[in-house]
Amino acid sequence: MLSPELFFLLPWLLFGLLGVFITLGIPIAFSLVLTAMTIVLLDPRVTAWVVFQRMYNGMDSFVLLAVPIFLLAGNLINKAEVTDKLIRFALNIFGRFRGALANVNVAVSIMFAGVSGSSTADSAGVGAILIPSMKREGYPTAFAVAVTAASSVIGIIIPPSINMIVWGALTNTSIGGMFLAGIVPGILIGLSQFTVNYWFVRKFNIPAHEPAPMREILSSARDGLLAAAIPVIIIGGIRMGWFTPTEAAVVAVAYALFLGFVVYRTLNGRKVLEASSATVRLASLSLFSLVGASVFGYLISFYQIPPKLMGGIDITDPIVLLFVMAAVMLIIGTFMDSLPAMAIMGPLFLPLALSAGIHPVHFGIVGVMALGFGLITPPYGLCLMIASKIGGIALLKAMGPTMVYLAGMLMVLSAIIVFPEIALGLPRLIAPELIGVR
Amino acid sequence: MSALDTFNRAIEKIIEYVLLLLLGFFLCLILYQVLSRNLPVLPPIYWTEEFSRFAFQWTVMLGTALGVYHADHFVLDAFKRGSRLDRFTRYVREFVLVGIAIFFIVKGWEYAETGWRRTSTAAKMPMFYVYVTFFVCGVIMLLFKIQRIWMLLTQGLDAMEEALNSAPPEEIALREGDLDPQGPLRRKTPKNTNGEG
Repeated sequence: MLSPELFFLLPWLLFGLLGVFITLGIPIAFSLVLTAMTIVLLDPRVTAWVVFQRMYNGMDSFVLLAVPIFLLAGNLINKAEVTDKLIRFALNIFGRFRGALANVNVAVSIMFAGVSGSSTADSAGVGAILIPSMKREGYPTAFAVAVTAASSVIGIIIPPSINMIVWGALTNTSIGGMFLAGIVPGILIGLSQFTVNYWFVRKFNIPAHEPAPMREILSSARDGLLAAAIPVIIIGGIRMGWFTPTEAAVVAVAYALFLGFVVYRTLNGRKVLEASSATVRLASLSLFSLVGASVFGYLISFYQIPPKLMGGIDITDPIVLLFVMAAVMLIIGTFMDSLPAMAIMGPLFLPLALSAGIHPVHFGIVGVMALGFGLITPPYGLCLMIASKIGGIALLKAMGPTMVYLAGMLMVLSAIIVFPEIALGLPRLIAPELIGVR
Repeated sequence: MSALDTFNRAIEKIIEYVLLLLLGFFLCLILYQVLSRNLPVLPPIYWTEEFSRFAFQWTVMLGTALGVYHADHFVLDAFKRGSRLDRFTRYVREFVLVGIAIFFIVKGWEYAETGWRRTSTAAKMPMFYVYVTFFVCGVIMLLFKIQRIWMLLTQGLDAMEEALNSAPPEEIALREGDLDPQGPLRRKTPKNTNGEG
């Protein structure tokens, strides 16, 4: 037990202990819980009961149910070989241009993003098919790996997005609003990657394909568009008030089952069980880190850290402040999984952002993107790890071209920070009630 | 110790089935909730939202306990693999989690008992049945931990991790992909226009 005159140390201890525990290799979710346990021992005002109550509150949210359900939809879609259909469709469109497969890679990620909401599923699914084919057509492996990893980041920017759901649940930001606000930034990221592709393809002198016959284009378009209808159903349903984001996730699962069993006939009972089992196991891990983060977030506000931080940071210009916060989140995102990172940074930064007059949805998009870029940066860049594994090369070999893509993506992020309308314009136009009057 | 191994594997199987049941349960509840709101023929049930949340909370805590068995929880590897510091942190994490399991068991039980005094809003069910997840999670974690630490002490760190840990996340993601490596491209052969634009 600390004596009351030493209580001023506790806010420092909170972050110090967390840093020590994480460095010691204790799982991040448990590091958060362990920090809270230590505080219980030191501060008589914080009891074990409060710790459990806060952890419980961390998972007592109907919105969070959308996370495992959207993950399930994504896994089902992979099992139903929808990725194949999307690739065939994209290849028929882009085949006639040089560097077709590189552009197909980006285009499929944009479509896949609308179907699944998870970037790692995208890297694994799209990469397994496209990286070997790209190698055969003479693309350097590092380039094939880089474009697969970089494009899969679009998965968490274009709706539906698991990261946006979690951000919305943590900060009470409208998820429907963030979904709409993510569309234009996601497409811009895609365009930046097409540009980089163009440059690489000229440099490596990659050939074009023969144009596909019209009949083939039409049949692939039917399959591809059926899959690409998912985001329209989700956003449309939320916009029309038919269902909440969680219910939208269930509708996405039902639609995935319909596609897999009735339309494509690629699913069977065993595949569904496999996908479900993998989903619950994986989702619980991410969600438990939110449970830990919830008690940590409580302690952050209990020790009144955001106001202290505001006193310490004397930045009143919203653009500068947003740049600083995005930089911090980019750095954190390089070595931490984005969901726990978000759970710590979101509640800490939100009061600052709001007091500087930044729109919460705008802040949310910037936060999700900045933390999401960590998916392709070492040491913990999961998408880059998956893609280089498929390509069979060391992660560092793919770093060079990946950084070129990242540079383009950072330019898009900067543009969004400076011009909030890029994100907020679409929701203001279509559904102003989702993002409030401001 | 092989008795505990058999027992833990059995628990793992049971939890896997329970997780699937819980997932199916809350999926059905939410689906019914949407349908009953939009189709007037179906009578609305007032506790769907509440019970789907409770099922979800059990899913998260049971999945968390299961994640301890195979060290699936996300860890920051701060040091070079195989270095002294790295080995040190791998020992530390095994033992520290025992402390957390015991905290979940002892303090988690006290917390669960306060649930008898509270009932859920819609169905008036005592909250004990939900609050007790932390306690159950702690008990299962402890069982898994005892086996891990026993194997650590008798067979060494590497042998234990080799036997019990899951593959790295990128390999799992690949396995889940389960795709035909060149399905849609098989029919196509690129036309070689090398250097002609």
